[in-house]
Amino acid sequence: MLILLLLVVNGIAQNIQVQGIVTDDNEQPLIGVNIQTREGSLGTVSDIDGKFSLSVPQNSKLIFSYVGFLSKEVNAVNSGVLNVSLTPINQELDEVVVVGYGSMKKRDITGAISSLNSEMIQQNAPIDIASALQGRIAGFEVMSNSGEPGSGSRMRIRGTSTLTQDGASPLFIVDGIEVSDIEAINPNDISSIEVLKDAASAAIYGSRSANGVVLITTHSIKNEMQKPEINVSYSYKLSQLAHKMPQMNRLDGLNYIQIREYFMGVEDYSIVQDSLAPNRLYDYDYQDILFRTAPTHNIYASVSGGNTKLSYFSSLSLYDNEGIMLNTFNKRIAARSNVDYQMTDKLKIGSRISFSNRKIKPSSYAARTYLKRPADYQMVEADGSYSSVMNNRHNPLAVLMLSDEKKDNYDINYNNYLEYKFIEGLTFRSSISANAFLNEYHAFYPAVLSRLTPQVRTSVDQKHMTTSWTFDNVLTYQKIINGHSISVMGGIALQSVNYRQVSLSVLGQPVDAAPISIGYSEVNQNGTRATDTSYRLASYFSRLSYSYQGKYLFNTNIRADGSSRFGQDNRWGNFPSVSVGWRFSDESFMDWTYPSLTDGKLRISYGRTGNQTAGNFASRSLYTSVYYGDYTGLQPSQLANDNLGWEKTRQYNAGIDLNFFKGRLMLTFDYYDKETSDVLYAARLPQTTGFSSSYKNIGSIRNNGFEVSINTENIKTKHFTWNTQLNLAKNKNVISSLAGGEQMLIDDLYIVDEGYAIGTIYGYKKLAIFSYDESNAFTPDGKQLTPVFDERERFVKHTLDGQDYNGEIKQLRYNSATGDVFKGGDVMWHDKNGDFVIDVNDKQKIGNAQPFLVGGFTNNFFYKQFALSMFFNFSIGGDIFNQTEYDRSNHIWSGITKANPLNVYQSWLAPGDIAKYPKPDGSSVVQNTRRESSMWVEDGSYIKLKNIRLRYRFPRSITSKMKIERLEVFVQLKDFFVWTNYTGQDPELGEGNVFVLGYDNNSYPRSKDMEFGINMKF
Amino acid sequence: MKIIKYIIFGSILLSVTSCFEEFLNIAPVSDITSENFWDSEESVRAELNSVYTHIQSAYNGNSGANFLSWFEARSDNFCGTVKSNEAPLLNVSLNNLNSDMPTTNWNNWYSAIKCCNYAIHFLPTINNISQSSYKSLFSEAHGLRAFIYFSLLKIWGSVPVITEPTLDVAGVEYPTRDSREMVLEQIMKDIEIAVENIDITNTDVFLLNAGSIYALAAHIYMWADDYEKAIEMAESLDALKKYSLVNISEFHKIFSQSSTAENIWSLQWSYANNRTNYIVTGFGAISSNVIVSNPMRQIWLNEPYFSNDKRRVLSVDITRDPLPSNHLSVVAGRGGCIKFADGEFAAEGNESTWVIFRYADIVLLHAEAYNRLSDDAQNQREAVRLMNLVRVRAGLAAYDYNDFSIQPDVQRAILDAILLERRLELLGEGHRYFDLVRNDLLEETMNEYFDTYYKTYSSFEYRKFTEKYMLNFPIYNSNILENKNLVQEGNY
Repeated sequence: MLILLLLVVNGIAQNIQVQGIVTDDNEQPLIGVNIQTREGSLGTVSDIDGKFSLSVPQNSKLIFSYVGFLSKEVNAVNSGVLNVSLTPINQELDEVVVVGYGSMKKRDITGAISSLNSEMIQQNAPIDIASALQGRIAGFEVMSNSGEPGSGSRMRIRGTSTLTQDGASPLFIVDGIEVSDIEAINPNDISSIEVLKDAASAAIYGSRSANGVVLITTHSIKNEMQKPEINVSYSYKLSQLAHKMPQMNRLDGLNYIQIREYFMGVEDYSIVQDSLAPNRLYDYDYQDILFRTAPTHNIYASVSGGNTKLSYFSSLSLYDNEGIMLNTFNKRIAARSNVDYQMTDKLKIGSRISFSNRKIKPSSYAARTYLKRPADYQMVEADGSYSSVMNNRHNPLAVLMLSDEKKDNYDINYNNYLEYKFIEGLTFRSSISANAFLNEYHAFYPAVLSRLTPQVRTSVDQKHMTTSWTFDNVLTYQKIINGHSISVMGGIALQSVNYRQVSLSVLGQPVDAAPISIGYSEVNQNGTRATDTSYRLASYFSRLSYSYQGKYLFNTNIRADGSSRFGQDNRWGNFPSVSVGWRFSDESFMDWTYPSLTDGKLRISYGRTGNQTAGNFASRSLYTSVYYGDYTGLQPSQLANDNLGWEKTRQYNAGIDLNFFKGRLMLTFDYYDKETSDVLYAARLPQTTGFSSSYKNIGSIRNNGFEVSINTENIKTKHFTWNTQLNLAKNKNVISSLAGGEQMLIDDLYIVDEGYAIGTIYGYKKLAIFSYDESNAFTPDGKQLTPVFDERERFVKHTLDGQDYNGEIKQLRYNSATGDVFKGGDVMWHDKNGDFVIDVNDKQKIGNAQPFLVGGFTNNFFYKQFALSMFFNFSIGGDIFNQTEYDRSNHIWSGITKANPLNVYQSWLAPGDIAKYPKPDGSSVVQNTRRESSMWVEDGSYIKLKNIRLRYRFPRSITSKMKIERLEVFVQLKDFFVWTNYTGQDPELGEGNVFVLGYDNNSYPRSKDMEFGINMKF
Repeated sequence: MKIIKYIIFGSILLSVTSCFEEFLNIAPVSDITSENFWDSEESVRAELNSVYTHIQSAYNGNSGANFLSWFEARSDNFCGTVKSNEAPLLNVSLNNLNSDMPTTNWNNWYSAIKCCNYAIHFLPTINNISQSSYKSLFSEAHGLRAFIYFSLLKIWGSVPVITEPTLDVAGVEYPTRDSREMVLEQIMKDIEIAVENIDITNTDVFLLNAGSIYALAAHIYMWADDYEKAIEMAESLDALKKYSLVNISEFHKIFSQSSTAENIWSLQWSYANNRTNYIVTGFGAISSNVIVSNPMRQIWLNEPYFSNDKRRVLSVDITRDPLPSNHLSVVAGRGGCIKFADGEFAAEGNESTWVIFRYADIVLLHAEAYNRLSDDAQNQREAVRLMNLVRVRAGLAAYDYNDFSIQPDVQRAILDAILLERRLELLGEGHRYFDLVRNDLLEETMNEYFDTYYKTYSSFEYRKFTEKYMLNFPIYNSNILENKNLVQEGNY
């Protein structure tokens, strides 16, 4: 694939001979360290024991450089052994972080940027970027969508600040290129991830940066002598269902029908007891049948190296993940190649190429409704074939095994750059990058899966391709004069994105034989269509950085973006930012803190960012197709809005970085206040216009909060090290105004209105269950009376606070002043307005899905060759709407849907019961089990031990004999321990749009994993 | 020198800027915009086709509960059995309506009006269109708008009348409700235009053809108590010489295929495009969402209907007769109306057509118009004659005029007979409730029905009709949230 060139320059005779050993901090020899004279003419690399020998002119200086370590300059001496110890870079203050269109010393950062290096990324052997980032960075929330193979994650930086459906995700930039699919990137390829959290840092990305920016840099090698380095790793993982849910068995189910029908007034149970139907004699434990112990293989290999002219990095990975549900998987192959070539002293060119292919077999929703299916319904016929749908309950086994549903994604990224250095400090960089993302989707449902009579086969075939290109031109000038360091950058960028899709949706194939859209009898015209749409972005940007002796720091940047999405008059948006920093620890009056305070810096920033996530032609009047029988209609679907423009976010950030005892205790604290105005919002219109919504710039959303991260090295001895990293974030979100937009209920459950946080669950609040019919008795001012009964359970009187009550008695009624009176076993709802009628006016906030505090806590222990790490992830205070539980325990539909047995045990069954749930009455007219109620809202707080990992690194004495530079083996447990009060499958929930947070709807359950792995470096 | 440098630099910047503007101007490909949409009569045809989509969605919405709530479950013909969030039909039957019910949502109707208004607005801007096509589309658009407002009037009563399209966000209005009289006035205006420009070559049974415009007009004039015009419209319909009552053996075909000489206007269904016809499955004999009420069944259990009326077995699941005493509180899943499915079982995936107007309905309406025209024997004889056409087709003996003339109130006696005949003939077709409203008989009929039937067979708490606002539906809560100028009537 790559032709590699190794240029070895040999030494010249009659010089002095220098010999020595290069080691790291822990006195472990380092292999392949590049050793050169200052002039660069002579050089060598250290061998497998870290030894080197070089003949150089007298009085020359040797430069030792090594990836991940700080370069060191040593005087060449003639006698004895020269012991050189190199210090890893990440412990140093001179660490460089990537910022938009450039890089900066971490010391000089004035915004809120968090970064992870490759070692931190690799800590839990993640399979994708989301799992590498989860819980690692304060203020960066990652929630994986479900346990489904390849299902993706929801990511938020500093809360949700927009109201567009998919406009709340951060911008991902990989090696300078915007990417939409980060699932395809192998974390092994990454050398660093920078998260730009505040507006001052992100604003250089202008209109795409309102939700923060994640910069991902893949490995690249410095253009210096490197011997080829080969990394190979393999891991094997076994996954199992993490949490088994309670479910009724056959007998429970029959009893449940009796209880339910008793409350419905059925006197004769004989019909329902008649389960002699041969297809209802089973007693399945679905979770035992549908789930398995699933293996996952992960293989990775990379090679890198170079010389003073050319350097390269190339990798290949294979990931084969079987899901814990039968017949589900995610397979990924990914390759990457990075090459840099220093053509002349002034000109450098390079390219970044990556390719990936993912094949996914998802489980369909129908297969995940097993909790609702009676245990006695047949799944397999006597002849071995699968049973079809019974009473509208899908056969989950048949769905898993027979639904031929698959996704096939190809992602190709290509980036070429040219860098020209006019004079020292003045550099021009031009890059052009292209991306092609091809996504194929196919589904075929054979006859047995059809709910229709007669059964109908259906299939869908879709191909969609997104192609984009970006052209960036950046001019940078840097100069240091007498401690004044100035850097100026300016550039222009053009971006063009095109999306094309062809989809085919047909039904009525005569046979199962060809599982594709062929030989069909009918076409679903709504699903058969082609799409071709694009948008473009043109930008100018510039940055000025100034620092005086690293003590006083100043940064400002501005970007102007023009977008094709908006009306001609509102096309351009300006996004300025400014930030200052003060290294107070360098001031003379802070000398008293020396040496305990190593470094201290205050940062303040302000910036404005934007968001353009509306439809591609959001400002125009558009028409769409609809179908009526055999007739084709076209109708207006979007109103023109010439005034549509940018959504703007302004953000203040104040932070402090403290470093005590030379890095033993490092603390970062940030406070931010972010307000998004002119929010792009599909605002509701009065339906009398015939349109339900239209994009408008409406109102504002505020997010404010703080982030803390504390890194400590608690114990550091020669053989034992213990360090911890803790990060915490608290965000408060509120829709501060919704001028011109009206209250909206999403999915009848989540309220979008002024004064409410996004993700506020809205509905009726359950206070208790009435124990007796007579418990529904209140004084006119709303105090509940206590009924008193005689020894024969006959009602005698009401009391209030122990005193007999003879005054007026009010009773709660359903829906109107003449509606039904709530009885024993019914829910006592909170009568918010005190009119004793439970109706729409009593709806209120019943939960907030946004957590109060989120964070991560990592402990690393190193003892000799062993390393043990434990990583906890927690989320405190978020509520969950348990739709899964509502679906099966609402008793409304029929006795076929089996309730959660735990729910029935806690339900009201007879007068006097003090119960958690109302009577299991299928015919309740007072809507006891209504959906939009607090009965289904649960506390979703959790602490997870995301992983615990034990690694053993073989001593060099053993590995050197095997010609291996480094050999490690590890074992880890993932998601084995979860502490939560949530009764559903898993409190970590991702899926859903911007508004629908914490919504648990029969998602694919998560697994707990045990993983073994081996890493080798040659 | 410096100035020249600046000039060069400035002009480069300017040219870059103008290039950028050019770069940002991109034309939509698969998104159709109004700039290029309205260029031929095909555009108007496509626009009007969407009206039918919305009407169909309005009927079929909430798993068919929309149609059942608005048109059937509120009458004394059917009892709602389900109480899901989506289809709270039991409470509809008990007249416990509230603004939380999803079936109180009028969105599909107004989407249909939007399409009518767009078509009427843009039709005159199209150049190359023949006079006859213009008139035909003009008539259809106004006829459709009349039908939609007539439906809105019957369901919600007082609603905002919108006759101009909203073309951009700046033009969005927050209307108040117009009085029932003003809504009716708009309906009359539209139907007059539709009749005036009628295109008698339009005979497509799945579109608002010439016959259905007359049928609609007859219904509208009956509602407006203009019996002469109603008779005129029914006669215009007859003059088309297209429609007749078909043999009872073809009864099912009227509904499932709409292919008979009796069909005037029906909605077409395609499973692939429109999914299941949930109205039919909702009526279905097995696990029906509404069952045929016992008083309704009782009519057919009495003679001469029991022996002679062939419609009984074609309309009701008779295997459930007589219904057990707890049939209202315990849903055993059977007892529906089987008229609309070929055979008793309405399958999921059903794509049978849905009849809006058919000839028998207009014949009986015609009879009702004659009876209401004036209290004289000649008109009453004509009314009886027309009614007999439907009776005889069903297998019943024809009435003799003298059967009625001996009654103290002849007109009322004939009206009762016609309403009974409509009840039997048009069961489940969405007429009964409005027949009662039109003749001011709703309150007395339904209140008696509640007190005798629901009180006896259930412990449900029903709400009697005591005030006029109760005849109509409340406005859906979320429709009020999005337009605060809308005010709920009465106690809703």
